Amino acid sequence: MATATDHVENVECRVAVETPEQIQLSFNLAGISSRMMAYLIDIVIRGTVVFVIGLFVMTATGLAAPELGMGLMLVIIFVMEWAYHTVIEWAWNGYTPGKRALGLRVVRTNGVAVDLMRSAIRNLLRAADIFPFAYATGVLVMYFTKTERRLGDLVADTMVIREDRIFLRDLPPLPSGLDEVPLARYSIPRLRGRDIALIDEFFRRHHYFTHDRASELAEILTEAWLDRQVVARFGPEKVLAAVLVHARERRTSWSGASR
Amino acid sequence: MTRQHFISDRRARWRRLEEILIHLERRGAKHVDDGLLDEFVALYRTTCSDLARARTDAAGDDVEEFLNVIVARAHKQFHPPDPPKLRRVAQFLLVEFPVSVRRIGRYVLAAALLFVLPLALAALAVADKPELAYHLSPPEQLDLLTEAYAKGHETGRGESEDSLMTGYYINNNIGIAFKCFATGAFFGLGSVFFLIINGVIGGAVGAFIATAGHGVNFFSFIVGHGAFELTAIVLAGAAGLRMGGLLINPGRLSRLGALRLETPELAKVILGAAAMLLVAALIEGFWSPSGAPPSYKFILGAALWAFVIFYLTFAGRSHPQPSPPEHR
Repeated sequence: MATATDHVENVECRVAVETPEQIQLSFNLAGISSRMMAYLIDIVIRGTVVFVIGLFVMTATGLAAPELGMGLMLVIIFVMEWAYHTVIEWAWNGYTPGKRALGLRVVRTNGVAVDLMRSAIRNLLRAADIFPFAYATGVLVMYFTKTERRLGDLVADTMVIREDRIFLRDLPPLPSGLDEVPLARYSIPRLRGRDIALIDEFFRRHHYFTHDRASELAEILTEAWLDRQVVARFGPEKVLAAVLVHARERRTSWSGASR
Repeated sequence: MTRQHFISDRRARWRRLEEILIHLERRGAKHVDDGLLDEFVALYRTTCSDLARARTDAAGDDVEEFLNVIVARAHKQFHPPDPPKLRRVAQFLLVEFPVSVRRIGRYVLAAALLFVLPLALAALAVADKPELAYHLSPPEQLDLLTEAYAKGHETGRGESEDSLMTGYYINNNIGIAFKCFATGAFFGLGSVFFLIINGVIGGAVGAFIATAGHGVNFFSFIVGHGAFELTAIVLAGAAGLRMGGLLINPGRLSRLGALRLETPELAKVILGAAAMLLVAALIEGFWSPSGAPPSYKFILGAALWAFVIFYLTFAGRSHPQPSPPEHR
């Protein structure tokens, strides 16, 4: 069955993972822009650390031993360049301050935490991803892999995921008088979860649209799979709402004994 | 049972699991008492099955998404990253690193040749026509270096100047080695390029200073840390070549599959090389420029070379080793 949500599949960047204990999990992949933001935050932090320690070291060693101070500075710059990501991602379960702020996390492609080896590989390979400037290679590679991974991720077998917080929501506000729509009389195809989620989302954002735009969108959503007659008679929004309620509360679903 | 029933039936358990999760995420499993952990495990199991059910019945639903997120969070608690241990470090240096190096022995040989042959050629060429060196390495730097080595090291340097140079070597040389490795991702080409370039520059500079008559100063300076530094650059290059080799000829696996299998081995080589470069930087900063007579430096240098070669060839041989990843 072709529905309006078929094209959405390509936009949603999700990967399904089966964990070692056979649990199916799915992760949202982080996109280029959020990863870039996280990287910028980390750059600012790295710069600040170098600056603050630099001030401290320079005043401590002062004129007595300026070379000692410079030597220490170079070591700190080195550590911030090559060890910052490796050590923090490994020790903090895939976060860096920037990633944490954006809700991103590095995991192995089977969903478990990165170990030191993988953290080291993915971050040392920044030297290749950054080539020739501004992570051009990394961004190109991310663009062409389906799972948004740069060279370092590909070699280390890691990925960056979005850790969203989800809240259980009740039904969105729906138009009234849904009982009038005699769904049972028409053949309504069985909807997939994605389709239901899309209709749900439509009503959740309903108040952002103008009246005309809303019916236009509803018209698009009903196209090709809902009976033309029923849509024409009750209006696309009402039919969609009825379908949503029907799908959400149908009795065959959610079966199985509860403990 | 409808969706609403399903939720109201189980919501309390999910809430409880979230509560415990927040505890665990803040404090870590060690600081949470056993009763709570048992409850956590039990709730985790039932929630996993709730997720499975939500998935079969209505994939893409927000209940599924909600459960997916909690289960992923709980799953993370079951698989914390392994903590650093001192014994692990010793095991790494004494066994794993040299073993991994020997496993890519052919690539080490190739990297060594890619480094040493250009070095020798550049050295011979410059010995024949010293002015060639000005084309092979930055001229200002060349003059500075020659001037520096002309002075010799009889007086040594101040300690603080040593620290400055140590910092410089750490920043510069380890960075070179890492680039030597990382650019191997471009089908090995980057590694080849960096190995040859560094060989040519090294050979040209060395021969130029030697023909200027400061050979003893130069070679006595370089021999000690060179054992670690040059070897480590070759090892990093070898790891890069290995990575490129797997991309060009992954055998029966996909390119990524072949790389994935080899990643831990490559990581060991590159981390070991980083450790060697750290040692090199300390020697280069504090011993190489010291006032010790050149003969001492040559003797210790020879000993260090012998040590590095012995270490990489024999360390960890007596330990039982897991079979290497299968590629063909």
